[in-house]
Amino acid sequence: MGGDGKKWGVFLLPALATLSFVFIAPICILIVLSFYQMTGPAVVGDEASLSNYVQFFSDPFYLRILWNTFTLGGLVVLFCLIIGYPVSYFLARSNSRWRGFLLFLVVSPLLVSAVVRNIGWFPILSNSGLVNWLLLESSIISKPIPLISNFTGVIIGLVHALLPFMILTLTTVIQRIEPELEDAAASLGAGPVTVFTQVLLPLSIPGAIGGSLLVFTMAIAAFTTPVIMGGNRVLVMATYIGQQFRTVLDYAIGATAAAILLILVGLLTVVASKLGARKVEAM
Amino acid sequence: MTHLVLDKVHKRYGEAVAVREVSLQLTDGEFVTLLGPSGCGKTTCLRMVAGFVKPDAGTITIDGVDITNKPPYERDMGMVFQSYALFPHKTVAANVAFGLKIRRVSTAESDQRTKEALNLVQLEHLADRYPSQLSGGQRQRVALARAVVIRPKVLLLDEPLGALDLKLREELQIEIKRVQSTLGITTLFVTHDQGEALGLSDRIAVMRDGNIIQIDTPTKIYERPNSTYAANFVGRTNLAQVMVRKADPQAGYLVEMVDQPGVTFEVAGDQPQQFLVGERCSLAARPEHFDIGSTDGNTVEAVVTDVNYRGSIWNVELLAKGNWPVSAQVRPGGRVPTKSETVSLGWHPSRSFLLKLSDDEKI
Ligand SMILES: Nc1ncnc2c1ncn2[C@@H]1O[C@H](COP(=O)(O)OP(=O)(O)OP(=O)(O)O)[C@@H](O)[C@H]1O
Ligand SMILES: [Mg+2]
Repeated sequence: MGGDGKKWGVFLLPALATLSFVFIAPICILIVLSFYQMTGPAVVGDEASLSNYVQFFSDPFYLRILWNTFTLGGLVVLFCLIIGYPVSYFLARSNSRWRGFLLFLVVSPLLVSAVVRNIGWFPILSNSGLVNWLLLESSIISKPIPLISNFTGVIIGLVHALLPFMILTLTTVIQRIEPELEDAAASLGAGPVTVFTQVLLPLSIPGAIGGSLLVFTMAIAAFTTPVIMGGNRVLVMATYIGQQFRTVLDYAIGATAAAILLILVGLLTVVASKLGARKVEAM
Repeated sequence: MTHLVLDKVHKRYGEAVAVREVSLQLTDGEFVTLLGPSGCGKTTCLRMVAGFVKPDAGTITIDGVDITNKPPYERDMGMVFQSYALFPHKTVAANVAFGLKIRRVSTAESDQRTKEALNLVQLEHLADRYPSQLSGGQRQRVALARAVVIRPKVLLLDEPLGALDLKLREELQIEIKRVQSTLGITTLFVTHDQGEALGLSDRIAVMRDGNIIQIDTPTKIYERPNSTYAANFVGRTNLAQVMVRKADPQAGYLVEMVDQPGVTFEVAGDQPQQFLVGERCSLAARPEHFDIGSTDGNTVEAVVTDVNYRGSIWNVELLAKGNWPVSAQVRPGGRVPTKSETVSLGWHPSRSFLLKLSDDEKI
């Protein structure tokens, strides 16, 4: 096996070279950039310092962006968990003939381009859209609730986009929980709520952590959806970085924000996978 | 006092009938086993009693209270599964205490009862372990303790020994029986292993295709099965086609071999069914009821075709007159015949019994 592996390694070299050029090099350049000061549009000086980072973590403007980003990620994860768990449970346990169809529905957001997926929400969520029309017609509200081109819109868009990842992760985890554990708990007197809190939930935690992390990371890194669904009004890390590089042309602070996002995501990944692993080991 | 009654309980899955109008009564403290081959509806029956499966028709009552539509968590049943179904994230003690916690039993009492239950299955020293740190046999003992600690009305066991190896199975059989009789718990046990059924049960219900075809004590089931099916499913049976020549309620029957006219046997003792003179039926006898070399009672001439040593006994295969293949036994100390030897095969008239021909045997 070992010898074979080495032989095939030769064929991997071109791919590895390309990947390191495409992925690693830009990240390195980005990190280097974050230590310099902007001297003009798209230009940086030649004196390296940590001042960008100091500025980032002391200026309320940047802290606000960071906070927005984390709130967004957290809310998206929360909604994905709440909506995803029942669906995953059904997918994991049912052998109904609707299962296949539901699975298709679940992964369908992955099959559409982000732009189409987001634009599709406009007729539904805009002030004259379906939801507001229904609410107005039935006199539940007197003037339209803004559901799109704001933070709410971004959450809706991201939950829609990332739900498949949560559901697929949770489904695998729930499938690994023996159905007879639920029966055993029920026979011992546990009603559905207790079965959920005492058996299903604790055993789903490793999967829930994994899925949440995946969704959180993708939510705070997402760019297209916050731009379209937020109507250019929602400032999170990704949209801020985009602005710096594309319109403000302050590469230095843009690179700083990008590096911070990168490090935070990396740290989160490490922490969560440790937590998940410990949980699994205890069983 | 727990009295469990299933009354004409019926369950269909689509077109297929899993359980067909099964009626069954368990009296207080009784150990009843559902015995039958794979797919005959044992688990479905048990799960209907537990409340996991809803019967299409019929009722299930406990002490006269109809529980047919009660959810499982309101039924007070202790259930043991083949797969153990221990909560992997809880310690042994927490597993056992689970049902008590739900019943809001005080911590002190819960600890005490958990300890007692673990004591009962001799596992108190493993209370702090996780299920993954236990052997299969230990896991099933924990499951048993967890099921009985809530003092259930009925204990339900679905092939609890199915995943264990032979030696452990025998050990755990004794354990289950001991716990059950100590606590005097009404028990419904499911197995396809006749040895378990015979060894544990007060009564055995033999199932076939969703029906209970016979329900009786282990000895009755073994000595007087009411069908070829039951006779073959529980123990080994030697069957010969015979014709009833005389039928007398007191003295019993006189039967003649169909394939060897002139050879007749007497059949004495209770028969599960009535037979008429001239009726064709099966004569049945268990291997251990034959006496090789005997000239008492019924006798038939037979040639030894094979002899096998089985540790505690010798298995002797013979071909009796009328092409009747017979398997008999010789206990230690008895004379072991040699292959190709012609012997007289004898048995007491009350040791054999008659069975109605099944539909496929009639042709
Ligand atoms: N959920 C189900 N859906 C459809 N058919 C089922 C279901 N559960 C059981 N059956 C069918 O009902 C019949 C009885 O099944 P059951 O599980 O009660 O058998 P069993 O006697 O317990 O068998 P085994 O010894 O294999 O456990 C079988 O034919 C089975 O295929
Ligand atoms: Mg079964």
